[in-house]
Amino acid sequence: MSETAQGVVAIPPAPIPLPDNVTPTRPLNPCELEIDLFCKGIRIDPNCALEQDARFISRTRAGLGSGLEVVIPGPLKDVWVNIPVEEDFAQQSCYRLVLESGQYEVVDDRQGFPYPVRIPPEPTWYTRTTSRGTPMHKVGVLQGTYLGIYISNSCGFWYHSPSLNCRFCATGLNVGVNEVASKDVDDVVEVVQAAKEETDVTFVHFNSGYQTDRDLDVAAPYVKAVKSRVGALIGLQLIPTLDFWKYDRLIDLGADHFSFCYEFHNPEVFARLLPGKQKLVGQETFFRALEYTSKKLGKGSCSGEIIAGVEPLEDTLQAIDYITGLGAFPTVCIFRPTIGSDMEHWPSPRFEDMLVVFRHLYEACRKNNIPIDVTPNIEVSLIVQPGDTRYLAPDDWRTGWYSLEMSLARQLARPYFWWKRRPKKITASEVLSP
Amino acid sequence: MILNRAEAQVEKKVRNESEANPVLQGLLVAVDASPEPFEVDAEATGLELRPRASADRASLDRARMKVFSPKPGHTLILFYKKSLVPYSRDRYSYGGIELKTPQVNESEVAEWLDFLASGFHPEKRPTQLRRAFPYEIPE
Repeated sequence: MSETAQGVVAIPPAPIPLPDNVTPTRPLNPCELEIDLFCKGIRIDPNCALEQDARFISRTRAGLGSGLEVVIPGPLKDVWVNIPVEEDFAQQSCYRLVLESGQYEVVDDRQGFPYPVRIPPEPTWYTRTTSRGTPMHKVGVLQGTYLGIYISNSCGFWYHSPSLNCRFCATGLNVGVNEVASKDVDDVVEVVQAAKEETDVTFVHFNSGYQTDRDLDVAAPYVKAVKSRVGALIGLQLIPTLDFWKYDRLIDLGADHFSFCYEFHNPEVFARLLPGKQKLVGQETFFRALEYTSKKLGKGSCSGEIIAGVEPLEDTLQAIDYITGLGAFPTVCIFRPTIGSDMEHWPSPRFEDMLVVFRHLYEACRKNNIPIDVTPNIEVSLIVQPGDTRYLAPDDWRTGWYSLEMSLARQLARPYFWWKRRPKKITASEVLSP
Repeated sequence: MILNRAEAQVEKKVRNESEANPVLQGLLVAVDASPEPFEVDAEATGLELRPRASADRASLDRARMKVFSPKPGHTLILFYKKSLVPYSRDRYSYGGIELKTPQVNESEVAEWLDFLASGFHPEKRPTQLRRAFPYEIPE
């Protein structure tokens, strides 16, 4: 136990790591490789020229973006992955990034399998400042191909005594160190404009930590400003509320997607590792809000976010079934023991367990006919996206049919998403509560 | 002890920072007297200490304690780890301490140095440590 001025904080004891028994005897497909890289991280060979070639590494928000952005090319789609490089477990990885005759490769040192990869360059706007002099990369960063912006001045859970922060999270450790503490609306608009024009960003994702039940209120001005002055698909990842009228208003202001991070389906794990969410919000609130918004916005528009590799596997599979059963899509983060967090010393999950999770995810999306990879240019590097799991699908007629449906949906939805990304006049008020 | 104290750049840095911030005078006495080896980064903003890593504790090389003053009478102490990636600008915070008086308590300083020397072991978190530290931290 550790006692601080903020009270007694229980550090969750790390479980004994199980051995990782799988050594591939054939090259992995892009999604399998993505999963294994999330689990094992990567070492960077000294011959790499990442300073010139790569986006700078910047840990923002909860900490998942702390790695190297890499693209794994593939026949079905390219897979974007933010590979852990900084954490202790990554220093023991069997994977190495090398530069071979001008081409970057991920090499598996266990058998020498090389995997050609692309390193996405750093956007030029990253090093510019807004008209107010704020460095743009401290306002928002690309995580894959979408723009992620953390809009609060830190999560309120971190300021309780004892601290009620989620035990895996590093949000409270980042703001002010790698991000500006408070994001000015005009700065946000300028950054979104730059990201849209120069890096073809189609989706802006706002999130924040706990704001004492004013979470949607805080987000509202940013949503209206971006939708009316720039135009983009807008997603919100906020602590949920049972004041469902606020979701109605946010939709009127321009929100296209809501994501709910309830992290763990198992109520005991939820209570133990998410003390703030347990005490001040409740797991049921997440479920009710996801159910409401999913119904409101339609199938495939909202998501439930969970972490795999901490709670028992069967609970993760149940979570996937629950989320897809609502018509939402699961965003499943492979647990990363982030530096400085209370769970820093926990083991990273095993590849073989995560393979079970994501095969199940594909099947659950297919069975519930969840649209995957339909929206244009949204590749999320922090998770194994539902669309990435197409590489794990069985080779049968069901897979073929689902692929055909999604391909048609993608084509038919093009004009709709083009229209949704245009700036529009918004008459609804961004002031939710006086 | 400060291993590189005798270097001209370090001596100048220490002198300038101490003159600007009386908190550092008390802190530096404690660091000089500590049996743990530390080094001062002469290039960093404020006074920045790092533990001297040994062969079996190479990970200590990343740990830093930065002491700086955003405004007169206000001193912030940030504990963080530098990125392992040479070109990365990222910093991994372990929290900080806010001081509003120029006096530093010997036992408190001992806690800070112990925390730094351990590479930020969670059981050595200083009593006054605030993990959420939403101040703009200069590089």
